[in-house]
Amino acid sequence: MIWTDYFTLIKVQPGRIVTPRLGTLDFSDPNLPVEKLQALFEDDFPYLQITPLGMEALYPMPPLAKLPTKTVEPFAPSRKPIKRKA
Amino acid sequence: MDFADIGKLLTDGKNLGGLANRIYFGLWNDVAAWPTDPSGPATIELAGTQTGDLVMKAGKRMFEHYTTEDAAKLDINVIGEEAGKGYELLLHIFAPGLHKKLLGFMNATKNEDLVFIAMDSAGQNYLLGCEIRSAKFSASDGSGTGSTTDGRRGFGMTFAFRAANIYVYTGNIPLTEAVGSV
Repeated sequence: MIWTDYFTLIKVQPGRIVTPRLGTLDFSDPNLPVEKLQALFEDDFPYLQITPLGMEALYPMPPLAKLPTKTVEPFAPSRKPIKRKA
Repeated sequence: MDFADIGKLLTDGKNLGGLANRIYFGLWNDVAAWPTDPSGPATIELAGTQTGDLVMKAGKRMFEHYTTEDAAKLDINVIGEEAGKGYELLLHIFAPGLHKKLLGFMNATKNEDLVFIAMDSAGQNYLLGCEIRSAKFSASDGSGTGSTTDGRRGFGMTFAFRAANIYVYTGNIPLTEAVGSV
C-alpha cells in the first residue's frame, strides 16, 4: 500500500510543500511514509483528504459491544380489581 | 488579553541566528487568501501568531530562492511616530553568481508587488506581505562581480514590508500550483 491509497492530495498539484511540522515533503513521491501523512492529517493539514480505505485502515471502528440481555417479565397488575357498587 | 511572565523560553537551549538558505517568494497579485491575524487574542503568545495558510490563486504558486549561507537576515525595525508605531521588516538575501535566471528575476521584480516567507534558524517563519500591502524591492547591497578573485560575485537584495504588527507565520508553503477555487 502507498500513501495515495489512504490520502488524496487536494487544492494543489502534486509536488513539494514546506510544512512547519515535518519540513519539506514531496507529494509526487509515492513512497512518503503513511505515518507522517497521518500526523499531518491529524494536525489539520489542509491539503490532505482521507480516502474510505484510509479511514478503514487508520481509524477502524471498534465492533459494537453486545448489550446485556434482560428478560422482561410479562406485565401483571399488582392491584386488586376495584369492585363497583351496583 | 491577559499578560504573562516572559522567561528565557529557549527550546533545548537552541538559539542560532540567521535565516535558512531557502527563501520563498511569489507575486502579491497571485495570492488568493491570506492567513488570519489575531483579533482579540486571549494570550500574548496568540497576539504574535497568524493562523491559516497563504493560499495562491488557481494555477499560481510560491517559489524557492536560494541564498548564500550566513548572508541572509531579517531586520525588524520600528517605524512611526508616537501613537503611530509600526514595523518595517527588511529581508536581506544574497544570491551567488550573476546567472541569467537571477538577472531575469531582478528585472521582473524590481517594481513588482511581492510576498515573501523567510524561515529563521529556529524554523520559525515570517510572512512579508498582507492583504493590503506587499513586499517591495528596496535596495541592492554588495551586488556585482566583486573586485578581487576572493570577493563575492552575486546579487545582494533587500525587500521591505511595512506592517502594523509582526507575527509568526504558522501555515504551510506549497511550492506547487494551486488548483480549483478557494
